[in-house]
Amino acid sequence: MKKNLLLILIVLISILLGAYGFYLEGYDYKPNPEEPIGGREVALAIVRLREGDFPRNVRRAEWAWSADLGLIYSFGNDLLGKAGFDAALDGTGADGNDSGTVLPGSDVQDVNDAREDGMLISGQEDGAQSPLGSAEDENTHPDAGDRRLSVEDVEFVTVGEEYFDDAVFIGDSRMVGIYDFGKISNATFLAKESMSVYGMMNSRVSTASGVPSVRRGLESRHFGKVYIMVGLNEMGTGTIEGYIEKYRECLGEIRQIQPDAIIYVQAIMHVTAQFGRETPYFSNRYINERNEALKKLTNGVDIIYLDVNPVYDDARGNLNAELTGDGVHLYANNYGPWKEFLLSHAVVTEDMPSESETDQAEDETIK
Amino acid sequence: MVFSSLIFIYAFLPIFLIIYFLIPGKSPKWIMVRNAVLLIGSLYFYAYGEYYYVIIMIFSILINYLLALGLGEKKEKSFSAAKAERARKGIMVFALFINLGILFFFKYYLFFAENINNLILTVTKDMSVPVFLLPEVRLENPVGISFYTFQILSYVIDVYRRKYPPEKNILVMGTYIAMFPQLIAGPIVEYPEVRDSLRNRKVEAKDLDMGIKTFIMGLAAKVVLANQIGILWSDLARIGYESISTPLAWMGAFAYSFQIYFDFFGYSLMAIGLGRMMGFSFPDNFKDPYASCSVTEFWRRWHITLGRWLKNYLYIPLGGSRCSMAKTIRNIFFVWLFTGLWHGADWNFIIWGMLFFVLALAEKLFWGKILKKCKPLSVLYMLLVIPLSWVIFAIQDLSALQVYFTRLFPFIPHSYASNVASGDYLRYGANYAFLFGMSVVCCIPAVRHWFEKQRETKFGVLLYLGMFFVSIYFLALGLDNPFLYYRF
Repeated sequence: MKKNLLLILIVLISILLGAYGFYLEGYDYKPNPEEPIGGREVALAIVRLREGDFPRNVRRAEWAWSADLGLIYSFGNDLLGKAGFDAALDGTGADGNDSGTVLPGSDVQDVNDAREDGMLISGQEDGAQSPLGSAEDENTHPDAGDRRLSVEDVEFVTVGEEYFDDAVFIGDSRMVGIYDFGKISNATFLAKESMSVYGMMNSRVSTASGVPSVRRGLESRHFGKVYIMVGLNEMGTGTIEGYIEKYRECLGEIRQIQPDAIIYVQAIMHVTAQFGRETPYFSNRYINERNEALKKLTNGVDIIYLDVNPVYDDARGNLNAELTGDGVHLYANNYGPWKEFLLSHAVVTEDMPSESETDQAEDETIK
Repeated sequence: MVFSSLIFIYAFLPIFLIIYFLIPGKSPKWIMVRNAVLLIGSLYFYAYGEYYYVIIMIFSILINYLLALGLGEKKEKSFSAAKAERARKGIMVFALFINLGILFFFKYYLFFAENINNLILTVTKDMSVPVFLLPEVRLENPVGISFYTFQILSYVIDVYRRKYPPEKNILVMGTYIAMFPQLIAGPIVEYPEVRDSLRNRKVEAKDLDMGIKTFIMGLAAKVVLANQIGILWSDLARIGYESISTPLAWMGAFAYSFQIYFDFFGYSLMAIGLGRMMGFSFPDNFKDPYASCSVTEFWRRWHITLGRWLKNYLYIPLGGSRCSMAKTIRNIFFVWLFTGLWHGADWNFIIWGMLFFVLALAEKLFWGKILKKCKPLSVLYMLLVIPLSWVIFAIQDLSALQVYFTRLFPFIPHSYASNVASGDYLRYGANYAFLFGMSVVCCIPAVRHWFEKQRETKFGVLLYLGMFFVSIYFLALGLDNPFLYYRF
């Protein structure tokens, strides 16, 4: 017996962890459905324990499943789940707890069935009032019928690089790509690989040192323009409606923090045809569906829809395979046209503060 | 199915071991039953990923079983000795043809066809001649085909050489070839190493314990070290080699060197551990290769079973070094050519093999003695040779390889657009410093010995317990990279 102490300990601990995993599933935590039963509960337990979900503070989980990220949890506005795990691996740890909101358990189908449909239902909170206002507020709510300007009617102008002086870029690894290779040195970047709209505001950032979260980065000074691109990491997760609702919430909060900024909602960039074939959850068909839905969030006035895809697509509407190594991210060499696109699709309002005015503003700058 | 996965560790392996050990293993008859379980389990293991390639392997086993029987000594001497010998030669040639033919067809045909077609097109470019081109058919490599083909060939050639009689029991022979610990990625086991165990083996508690610990060491090497540091290398491909700075390029070369070592070494350890759990003793495949002082020494410590196979079944039959200098050089050349080609059907693998040919020959003729005498010089020498050779190994596209080398050596003239993020190596350096440090430490032979010694201590139980669950943690996060040697 003693000779196999290790095996016995492994089996015992695995059983304990597996039991804890099943216990967590009772609280609507979802294991990775692609893994075998038993093993996946062990995995779930280990990961949640690492996140600090001990038995005494387990709460009902609001979750979403991303084919790329795995499980994404969102308690109120907290970012937990895999993106938080990545942060934890970075040594930075998941961000604070919003202990105020405990959300009702989600109304979910069996995970495997849902995956076959290509969609999963994300946990959705009810009753959260969108800060963007009610449907009657025609200036900021896009679903105002024919009073809304069509997104195609936006009058873009070409601006110089100083336009980015008070710009902030928020988003996932493609925005990190712009940070690394886009040669936009005057803007602020609050981006992180695997950032998703779920918990975006609380998300850590890898492009600005000393900034604890996207929200704090946004609060730190005045911005005239906010560029956002998220959505790729949420493919295969939730319904489109859930994604849009979460996005709408984030936009509302951004609007509260920066009342007069122009918000650019960037369409999710395409993937190559081959990547879409190999990972069907990420196919451009689904990406296009989400981009269409994103248009509903914009109003052509101060929430603008931008689609850079025509710049990088091939003739069939897929990301040009020659421009990327992994089918998802552009080669470093190829970010130039994106910058050109942004500079030539700018919106300028008359009451936009001039550069000298923003310099004299009293806001602290991000360190 | 890969060893480093939850489905293997928490589904296949426990179920398999329970069934395996439920069968009593005292008498040879029951051991045969265990062999059957092992064979069936292995076929299932192999078929789990791509089921249709199991058919090829089963066919390969059957036909080689029959051919080996044909090569055995016959009881009735109805043929004259000369005729029998000719028949045996014929069977041996046929066996080579079949085995290498299958391997060639799946692995090398496309490479061959593309290059022949290029040649034909270049030669007949300005001629108005009807051109016949080979069809360029791309086939997927059956997993592990390079490994089990070589293993089968070692068996058949040994029987031909009368080293031992052919195995009459198809179950035994099939188990030898197909058993899942070494099927996918080696070690390349020679038949005498397991022949006795196949008929009569005992698994004691200590074997199970040691096997598990060995397995865990391999698992951790692969999941915690190899997979993680491999992310750096794949990031570079994503950025595009034109746009990485020189320090980052060197970092990448070292990262890949660590990745491929811990990956392959880890997998071999897992195979050896699994074998031990079942009562088999597999040969080592790695012996601290990065502690080598020369290329010659390196290849006695890296992928040992492949080097041994090429020596026994290629180099020595060609004459080895017991012939003229010219012929010896020719023999060495073929060994390196096949070393390169075995790893992949592409020009970069050939270049890689040829690099080692030149260096090994140069060491033999010129500077081997100097390296032995001057340790610092040999350290510097290997610090250059190893990462640079792995870069050649890693990048199939020759133009991309060229670009990479201009990043490594920026004084090489080049003309492409590049967009280097300034300070990229600082960021990657900060993120990967700990991992690099751990990797270097784990290459030190004394460290490896320490880990192995802990298999006997009480502290070792805690250590290996920790290594196991840390590995599971990484697997749980889904940070899986496919095993690098998987498509061999």
